[in-house]
Amino acid sequence: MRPAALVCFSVMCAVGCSGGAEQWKAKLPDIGLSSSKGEKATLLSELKPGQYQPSTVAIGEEKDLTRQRAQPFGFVRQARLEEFLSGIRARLLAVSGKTGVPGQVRIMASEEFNAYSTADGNVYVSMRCIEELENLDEVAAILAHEMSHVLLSHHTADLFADVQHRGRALYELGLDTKNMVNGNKKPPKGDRQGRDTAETVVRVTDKLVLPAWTRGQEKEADLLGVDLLIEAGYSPVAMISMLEKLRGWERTDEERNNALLARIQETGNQSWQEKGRVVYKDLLDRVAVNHPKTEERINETAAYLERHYGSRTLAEPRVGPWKAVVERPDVKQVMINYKLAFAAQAALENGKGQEAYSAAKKAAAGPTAADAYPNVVLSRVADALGHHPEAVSALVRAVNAKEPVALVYEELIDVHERSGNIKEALGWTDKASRVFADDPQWRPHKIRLLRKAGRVAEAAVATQECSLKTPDWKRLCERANRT
Amino acid sequence: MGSAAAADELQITNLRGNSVDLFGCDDLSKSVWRVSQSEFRGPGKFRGPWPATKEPDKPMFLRVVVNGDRYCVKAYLVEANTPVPATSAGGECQPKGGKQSKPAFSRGVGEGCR
Repeated sequence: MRPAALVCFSVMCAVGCSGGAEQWKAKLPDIGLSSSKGEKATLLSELKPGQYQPSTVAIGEEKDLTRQRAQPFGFVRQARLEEFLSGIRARLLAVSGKTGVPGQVRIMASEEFNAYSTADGNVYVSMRCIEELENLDEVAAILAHEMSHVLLSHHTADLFADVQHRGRALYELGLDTKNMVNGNKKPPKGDRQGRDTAETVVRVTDKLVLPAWTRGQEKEADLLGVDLLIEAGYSPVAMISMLEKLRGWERTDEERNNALLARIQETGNQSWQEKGRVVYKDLLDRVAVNHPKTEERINETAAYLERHYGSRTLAEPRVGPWKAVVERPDVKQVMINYKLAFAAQAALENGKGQEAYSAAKKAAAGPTAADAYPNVVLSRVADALGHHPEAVSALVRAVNAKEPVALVYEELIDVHERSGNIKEALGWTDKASRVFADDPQWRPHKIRLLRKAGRVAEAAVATQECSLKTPDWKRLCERANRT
Repeated sequence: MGSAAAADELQITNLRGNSVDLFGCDDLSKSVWRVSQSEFRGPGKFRGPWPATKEPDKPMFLRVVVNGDRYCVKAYLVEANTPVPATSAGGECQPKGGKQSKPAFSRGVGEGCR
């Protein structure tokens, strides 16, 4: 047990058990939660019913979806699964008392156990979660938690700024990685090393560009989530089992984080090493400080459930309805293929090329033959094994996929830039900007490439525009203009 | 610890929260005892870990043996040393092997469903 939980328990129940429970129940201190929220009344009862007021940092449901596609690996579009998740989301919202809540549910091609919501009410759940969750109620729990952040108006300008800050810092780290790779005098080794390092950066990005809720916000979302589950007829204990899965994942993830840090240290480039270590550690610490320990969240959720609903007969988690969806042949094959793609990526990172190739070939087939992520992985694996034509055709399939993946555009820009084809690189930068709703991350690329193309005046204008329209990116744009 | 239960036996190893009510398994509406953390960890008759088994007809509860007597506890308020067999809800799953520490409520509505 973690120290925080021990502190919590140490003040509990000094009363002896010398008689029946009813006799001394009243003597027990009501320890409960660390703040008053949820102690006397349920969070749902305190939620003001009526029309939902959109967050001031909302950018529009569709635009938000387009921007979130710029997450490294994009979305997994599986209509039946999305429909199922949307149905649960609607059922949870129906009992919230709020009307007009915008948003949709999307599945991210991510092997991290995570989910997040945005100011526009959209909920993003990772493929890993879909694989790990074991019943209808756990799926409802993760959606209830995320929708609670939306209903409680947790998406504020401060949070948005923090996410943006971390996004920029990681972008800068990626930029330094590219510079390091491009400056390497030994192409074959440097290329491989650079690829590994870039992949490390992507993994870090995947981990950290998520909202880092405060302890209070996270707790509130858990507890309101419990209320929503109960009112919507789901089993509230699924909130606990879902959090237990998160805790299990975090334990594994800690080992992976340490491995990531070790890999950063192995890059051989001292300045990058230092920068990478500092930025990564700093970001990780920032998230850790704000984020409550999952152990505490589990205990607080259990205490809340017992306090407000302990006398009720609670619904049991139901495996059947979830199993019926994930075992449908069309859904199951997509899940298997993404799992294979993740495994192929991991095998590649561990130097098991043939194993990676075998998994990647299977991943980029059947219903996911034209999906971006499995093809990106196949392209990388084929490239590493020297199967260059196959690598190129996989990359072409990835870029032509219905769901765009930012990483593909990054790679294409990078490949063309390194081979001196600046015009082509600029073309892909413009296209990426269009595809991802003018996301500012493409601006520094454009400025840098304009300068390389000798179009210095245009680069200066683009830098000014960047500073004015996206002041948060000013420094990076100015830096690109000094390339 | 208080019990000489076999290592692979299901045991309650931790109470989640301030205290846990022990119910009579034939009347789950009535709390018979309330056991605090200090009692669970202390030397008295409520000392843990408690041997436990699944209540087939009442999947939200676990049957425990405390000081030789049988009671039922709410599964979400305790942690166990090993996965608990699946609830009756799905019906499709069987318990998995393995001895890793696992909270009681991770019972598998799913354990063994892979």
